[in-house]
Amino acid sequence: MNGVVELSPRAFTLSAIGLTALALLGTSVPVARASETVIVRPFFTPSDSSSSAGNGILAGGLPESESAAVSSSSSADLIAELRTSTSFTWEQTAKLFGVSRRTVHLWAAGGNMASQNEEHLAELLREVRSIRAAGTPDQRLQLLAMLDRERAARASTDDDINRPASTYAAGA
Amino acid sequence: MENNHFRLLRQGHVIEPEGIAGLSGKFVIVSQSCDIVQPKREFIQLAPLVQLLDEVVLRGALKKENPRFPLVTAADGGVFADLAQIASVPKIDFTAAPTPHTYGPEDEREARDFGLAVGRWFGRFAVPDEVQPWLVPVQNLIRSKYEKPSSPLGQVLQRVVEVRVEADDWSVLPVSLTLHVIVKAGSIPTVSEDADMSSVGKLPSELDAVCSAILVESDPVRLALLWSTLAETLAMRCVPRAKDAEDPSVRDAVREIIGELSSDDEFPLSKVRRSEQLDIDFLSGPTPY
Repeated sequence: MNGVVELSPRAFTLSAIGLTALALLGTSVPVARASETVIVRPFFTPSDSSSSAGNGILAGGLPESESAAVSSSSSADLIAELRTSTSFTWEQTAKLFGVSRRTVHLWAAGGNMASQNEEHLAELLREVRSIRAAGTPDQRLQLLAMLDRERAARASTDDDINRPASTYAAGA
Repeated sequence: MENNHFRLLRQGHVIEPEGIAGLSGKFVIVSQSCDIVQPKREFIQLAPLVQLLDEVVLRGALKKENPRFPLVTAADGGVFADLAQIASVPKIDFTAAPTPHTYGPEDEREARDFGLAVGRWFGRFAVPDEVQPWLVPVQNLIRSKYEKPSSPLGQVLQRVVEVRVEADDWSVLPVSLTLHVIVKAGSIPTVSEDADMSSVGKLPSELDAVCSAILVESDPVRLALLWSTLAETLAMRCVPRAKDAEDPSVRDAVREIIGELSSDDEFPLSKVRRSEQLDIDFLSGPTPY
């Protein structure tokens, strides 16, 4: 192994593609996790980010034309479009996904996206395009509301494994 | 209790309750300090001091890998509290004030360390048995390299404060895991909003190559991306051993593992609450156990 994996940055599911596909792609990516239900995300090379091989998973339910438009672009391109369309900072873009801004940097450079984030990216882009197409004066407010909605979805909950312990009466 | 024999004692102090409640030998106080001092708390919890004769167990305990045995003193080859043998003793059984032994925390930090160790033993989140084998390889890797500053990974790990693991839902298998690699603030260059990410070129994908590159890279954007790549490559090491993977419940317990890099000044509380520290928390040095 020369330390550089020549693969598409796309995530894919072993159960959907199968080990044969890995062989066809000519990769030396370890496939020890060859379980039927395990997703293997081949390691990225930023310079390969424009490749469409690997056929990443995109959001279901998108209009066909939009799905096609989204799938024809790399994740890096889509992240760039999202940032440009929203004028969000790295930090704000990261909060749309509940990840660190360092992770968004990596995506922008063509790095792997988890399948669920890739799906979410497609959904967000569809929404952003819709907001911009409407062209209403409160566009900015709508984008910020979208950001706040996403942040709220990842707020702490009462079921968090490391929530604060219940407090008891002082005299207990 | 009219005579508060315990007002000078604190959590982590070592006493010899000879003959009280059938105990003999040295014991470390496990009760929280307020509960020791307050007369209205009727019991005090004590854990026996032990020396570990098994070389492997001793080595693991000295490296803070075994939460059952927090180190009380390094004297005599290492003396530990055995948190699996805690006894609860009525304070009223003490007819005189127990004298603290010379063992025990020497300052506030050591005292806090002991309290954290007790909390860890009882309060740490139990990662599902089926998921644990996925995490063991990266735990072992980090443990083995951390103390080897000659290795690239060992050097890079010196800047890692903590590694945490988060699941989308711990109660429903298979889980999607995120391995959070959290580094000291300032270790990674800040990337400007208009940085051109497309010009960084190929990044290495093999762990040693990533670490070696981090140590010599001078371009700030590329360096930042290498750090993020480190988290990805560590996540890729989360693969159960072949023997463990023979068990379908283990093999199918994890749907996906991704690595995510953060600085310790930007890791949000919401994620702290959803994640659990891997048992390799000697990383941050001054916060053992």
